[in-house]
Amino acid sequence: MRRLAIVLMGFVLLVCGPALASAQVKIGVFGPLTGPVADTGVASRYGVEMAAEEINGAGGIKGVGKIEVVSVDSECVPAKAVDAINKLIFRDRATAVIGDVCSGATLAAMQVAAQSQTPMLNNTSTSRTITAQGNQWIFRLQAADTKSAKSLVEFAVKKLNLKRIAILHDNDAYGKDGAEEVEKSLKTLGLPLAGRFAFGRGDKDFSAQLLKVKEANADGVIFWAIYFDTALAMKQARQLGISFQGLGSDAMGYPKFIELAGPVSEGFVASAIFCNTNPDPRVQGFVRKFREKYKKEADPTSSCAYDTMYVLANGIEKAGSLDKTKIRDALRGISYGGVTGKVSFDSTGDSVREIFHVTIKDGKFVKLSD
Amino acid sequence: MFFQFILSGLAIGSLYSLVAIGLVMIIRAVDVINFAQGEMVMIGAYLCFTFYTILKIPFLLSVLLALLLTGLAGFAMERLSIHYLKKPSIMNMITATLAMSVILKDAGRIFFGSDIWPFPSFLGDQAVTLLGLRVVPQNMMILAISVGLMLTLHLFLQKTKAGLSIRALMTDREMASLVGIDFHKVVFLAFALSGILGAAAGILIMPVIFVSFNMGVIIYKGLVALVFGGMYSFPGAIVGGLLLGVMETFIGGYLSTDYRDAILYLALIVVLLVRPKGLLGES
Amino acid sequence: MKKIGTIILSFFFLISIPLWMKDIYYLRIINMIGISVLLTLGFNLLIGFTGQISLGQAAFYGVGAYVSALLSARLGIPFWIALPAAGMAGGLLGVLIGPVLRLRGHGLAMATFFLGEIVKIILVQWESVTGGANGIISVPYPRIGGWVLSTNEQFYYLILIAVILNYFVIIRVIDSRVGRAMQAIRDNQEAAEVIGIHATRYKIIAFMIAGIFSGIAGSLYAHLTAFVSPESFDVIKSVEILTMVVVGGAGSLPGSIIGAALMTILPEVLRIFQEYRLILFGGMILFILNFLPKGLAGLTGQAFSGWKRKKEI
Repeated sequence: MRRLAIVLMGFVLLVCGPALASAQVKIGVFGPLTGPVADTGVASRYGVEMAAEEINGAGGIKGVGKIEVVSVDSECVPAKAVDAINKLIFRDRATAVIGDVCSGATLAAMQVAAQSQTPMLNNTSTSRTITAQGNQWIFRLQAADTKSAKSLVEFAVKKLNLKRIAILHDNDAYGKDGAEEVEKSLKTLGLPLAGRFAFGRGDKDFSAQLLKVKEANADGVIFWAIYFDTALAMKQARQLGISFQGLGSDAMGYPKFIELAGPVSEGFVASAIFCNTNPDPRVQGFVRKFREKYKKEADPTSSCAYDTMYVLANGIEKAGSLDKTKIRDALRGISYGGVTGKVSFDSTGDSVREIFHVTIKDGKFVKLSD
Repeated sequence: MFFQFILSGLAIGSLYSLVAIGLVMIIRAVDVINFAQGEMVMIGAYLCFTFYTILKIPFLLSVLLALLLTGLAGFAMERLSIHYLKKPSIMNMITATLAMSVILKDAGRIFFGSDIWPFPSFLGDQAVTLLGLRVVPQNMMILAISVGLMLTLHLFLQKTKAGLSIRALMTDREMASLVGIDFHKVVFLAFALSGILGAAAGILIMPVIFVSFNMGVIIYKGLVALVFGGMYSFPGAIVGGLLLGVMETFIGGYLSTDYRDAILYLALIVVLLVRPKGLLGES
Repeated sequence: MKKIGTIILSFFFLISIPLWMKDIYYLRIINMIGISVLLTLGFNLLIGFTGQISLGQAAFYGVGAYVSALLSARLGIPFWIALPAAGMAGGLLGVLIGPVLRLRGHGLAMATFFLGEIVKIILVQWESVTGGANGIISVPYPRIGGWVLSTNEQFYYLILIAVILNYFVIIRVIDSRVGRAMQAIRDNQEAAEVIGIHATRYKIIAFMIAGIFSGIAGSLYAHLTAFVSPESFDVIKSVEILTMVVVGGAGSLPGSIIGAALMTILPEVLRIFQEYRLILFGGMILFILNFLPKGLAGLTGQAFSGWKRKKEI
């Protein structure tokens, strides 16, 4: 009798085993968890993990299974990003991956994604180059620089009536690409550029550039840099007695920017896909939950990462399986409304979404109507 | 604009000077470039920030605690990285301090988190106008303290027994031990002092550059200042830092912000080749 | 006899690896070890055998990578010309930088550090040529004859050949008059000059050879990753190479292989420690530095003998 029971049990396990095993949908996340941009990599990871937890709490991806997030540190170095994505795809057998934070690392890793035919979603990169490579497996969730720069410039010219706009940007790919897009947009609108000034990422003194801005009589300055450099620059501008309307890429949409810049951030305008004071209950629920769980304020990175995980989960659900090609095709036609608004993809994998603008009033972000 | 450039240059330069002073301390004592000095700056800043902002300990006490603890950290750092080296060649010591820097930086990230924090200026953020130029009191204070520190150190090295032993050590290690100077005690002193100096730098500059585990990268500027001024000289560290700040601002302002650093580095290589003792060098 | 036996066995073992190691993750790491070995061997010559400290090695690596990438991606020059060109570019850089080698100790360390930074800045800023901060995308795969090398397995053989060839070259250099002069300079530069060795000249030769090796390594990296960008060639990379030399054992060629292998594998292995990865990594380096003065090569007890004949002077 006992032997029969054992055989039956074995039989049951044999049949159901594989089904149980495949209840795990492995999603790989890679990005800088150490190093100078660790805060962004960590925010990204938190957004993805929180979404995965919620989805699992509701029973996992319908018809496929529960999500397991595997996260790997790439230090934002291209060679290590390749190692990271290799590990995720070939060792951990991830169905899809989310990464990287820096464009160099993303560009390097993208090739592995394409070669191994694995969908790769990116929630932070804004560089035009990511979707210009003809790579069929990359999906970008953030708003590309081309689009956000155009939108910001139009806002500055048409809504704020600025006449002499200068650009202040960092020397990294992010700053340079963004600055170029801004310059292009200004040209399209027929507005003269008051000046374009670069600084090194991590520079502590911007007086040279700021004094030139003053000399150029700019009434508006568009910053394309990370928020801590911009915060420092804005403070120094005030100290030097230079005033202008400050504008910036959505890198300035971080609550930390307000904290670091202090009162000089009042009135700053940034392009955005996320506003943490958006009264939409879904957004507020997300902000609150994020704050409770991670003791951090939700920002553009974590919110976009959160939406990215949901988009991916939706794609997998639509595909109904772990087949990577099916998932890729499902993602192509997806449309999802998340805390960063509604997003879908064009044929190059670039995001199609609404870009709006926020300003800082009384130490908080406020969404501006266009 | 010209004079404003100078002033801004001096302001940022004094930050670099502060970092460089800590480097000179160690290089004079044990002839090592301490690549982990940046982390002393970070630790001092973070400790003071934690004590004052988070634990609400009164300011002066926070500063004192931070200075002392970082002094200890400096000493511990030396023990862990280079003390037991059997072959203290330059390459071994550089690798050791670099490894220590990696360790401390990441320990900072784990302990204090990967966020960036502001710290209120002691004298307020507002600038005042003096003679048509904008002057930020905090920056002037930093400048004054740097010079003050340098003078104090100078006196310390010239007049006190401990200071003399550090100088003796540098000049001739064997002779020094012959006259009874305890090598280990002196090394302890030097590293503890450089820890304190680093912490002082960190505390003074954190209102300006924010607190983060990655703050230590300012050491690269400190190294440049060091070379400018002559590696073994305290006044050199001050002058080198100020010069670096001013040159940065001028080159960035009048020539090119893109290649600014490359131009500076080239200038430094020329300085090294032509005047290896730096501008104020003494050996 | 026993030594030749070991060499032959090792050789066959090395050749066989792609046949049973199918995991791409591991294969690529092995390939990166190979590239690191090239870098470490070259700089061991400069740092370990000639006794010169350098913090600018990434510059040569980067120049080689970019030259190879540019020649093949922009000018359509075939790989088997681009690779040696990259090597020559690295060597040329070594010669150009040479005059800096008049400096000693800390001055040299700082000067090479600044040089590395200058090269990186040029890579970032000279957009029209280097593609700027975004780098050069789609570096073509090498075509040799009708073959296209695109997989990690194929690259493995290419890299293996490069490593073996370079290893033999370096053994020859070290055993030659040039090599002995270099070691004399390392041991006591003043004494060497007294007996007529022109120190700066040999230092430049060492730098040049290190540059050639690094240039080749750079080219291999560029084509393996099919992408180059400036951030791969910064001071952190230079420090990694320095650490590989020192940890493996300065002045020991087998040590360079061990050092390169360990420093490449260790970060991956340490991933299980997630949070504390970097601290453990740094800690291990300190441990090796402090307690294994001859580096890892000292462990094998074959610090200076082993794969090369030792000449008694």
